[in-house]
Amino acid sequence: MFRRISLIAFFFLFLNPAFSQNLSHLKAELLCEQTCVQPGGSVTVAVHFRMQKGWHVYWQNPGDSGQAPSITWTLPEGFTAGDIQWPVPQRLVASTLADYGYTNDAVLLVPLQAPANLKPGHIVRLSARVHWLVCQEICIPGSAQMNLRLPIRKKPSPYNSRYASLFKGARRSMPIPLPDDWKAEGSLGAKEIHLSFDTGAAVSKATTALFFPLHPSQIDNGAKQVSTLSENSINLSLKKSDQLSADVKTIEGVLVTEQKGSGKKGYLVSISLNN
Amino acid sequence: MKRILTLVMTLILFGFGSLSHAAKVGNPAPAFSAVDSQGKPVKLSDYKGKFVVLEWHNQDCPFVKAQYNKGKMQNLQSKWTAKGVIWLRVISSAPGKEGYLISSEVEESAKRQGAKATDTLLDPEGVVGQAYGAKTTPHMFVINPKGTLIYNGAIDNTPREEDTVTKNESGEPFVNYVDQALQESMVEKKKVAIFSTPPYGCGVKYK
Repeated sequence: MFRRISLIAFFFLFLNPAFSQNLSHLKAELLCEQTCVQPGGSVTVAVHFRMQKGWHVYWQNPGDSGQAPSITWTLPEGFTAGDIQWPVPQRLVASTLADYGYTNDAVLLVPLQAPANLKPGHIVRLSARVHWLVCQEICIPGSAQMNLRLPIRKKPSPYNSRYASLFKGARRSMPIPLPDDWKAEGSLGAKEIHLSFDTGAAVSKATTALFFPLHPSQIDNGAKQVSTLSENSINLSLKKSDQLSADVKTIEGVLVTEQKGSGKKGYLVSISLNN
Repeated sequence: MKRILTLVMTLILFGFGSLSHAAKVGNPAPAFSAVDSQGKPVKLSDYKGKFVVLEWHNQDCPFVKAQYNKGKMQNLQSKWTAKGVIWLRVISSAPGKEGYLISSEVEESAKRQGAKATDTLLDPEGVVGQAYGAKTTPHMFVINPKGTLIYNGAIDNTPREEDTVTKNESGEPFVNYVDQALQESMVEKKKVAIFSTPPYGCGVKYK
């Protein structure tokens, strides 16, 4: 099965302006949203992981175990790479532990800024060393060196239609800022961290909520998150980690709400914690 | 008499009550009793008066291998056991899961690895692991001679496997937290500066 995929991958190397590597339990690909780059312009690249069924890679905070993928760039002089944009993760429970990550597939986006002194007509080589840990019950570390070659053009870079749906899907999977009319509050209890989100409108009874902490050792990842709904609010009670720092002031992360039928929404939140 | 009994019961209850939330640095380390690879029962209280290191272990986890393949963990075990530290490896993998070993396999595995730990404890029910809230292999705990937990967290500040790591991914100097905690507490008689870090590694394969 995987031999066949790797043959296809090999074939694609010559047709595709993307670079892919097929490795144990996972296929990794480096893609560019644009077909070329403009001096002083920017492009968005994606690292696309496709996992074998049952296997997962990790979010930026992997939770109780595991390790987030990392990208080390080798770029021509003057190029800068932005932070990785992480799609909304899933909670992956194993016994009393919980990890945060992605099954099936995951697209990480990275903006790259080009310098103004690029010479049109030349080609730039963008090179990424990607490391990951792919796990089912067991974990296998992997890495790949992936390269992209982009022509430099004077005009704004056109989008590569081949990847339009992939990038559109990736953006749809990203968490968004909390709406302006929502109010978030947090407080520290004896054993729990309480979060409350006033949405400013009646909350559907079918709403469920989960919180993904950005930083490790703040909440007990494996403990059940208790979400309750009051008229306009979504409330979450998260068990504190044994390792929660005594002087914790804020909790950052992604709030994920889900309503039956209307799918998941992820919100980036940073909440001050009152005693 | 009845009053004393009530007091004793209360103490026991409170004792157990705090167990579920006791792997907190500064608190007494959770008491445990487990069997080692030779079938010998081992209790934490057997080692009162000594520094004790607990290392959650799974020989097949890549993060554990990264330590053992390069001799890093063995060197640390050897360095500190020579100074009188009791170093206990704990295997909390459930039967059928990765890293689960029967007694004879533990002996073989330890020999193959060249492990220099004092002993390896078998915890297939995960009782010791849950009492400490052990999340990963390798998750490390350091206990002082009074029985107080003085370190809870990762072995070091980088999961990289290279022989000589001088800097981690963020460019910070390499630190082995367990080595540092023992150095500060046992040798320099100071408070442990970095006493709690997020453990990294493979999830403990609990039942």
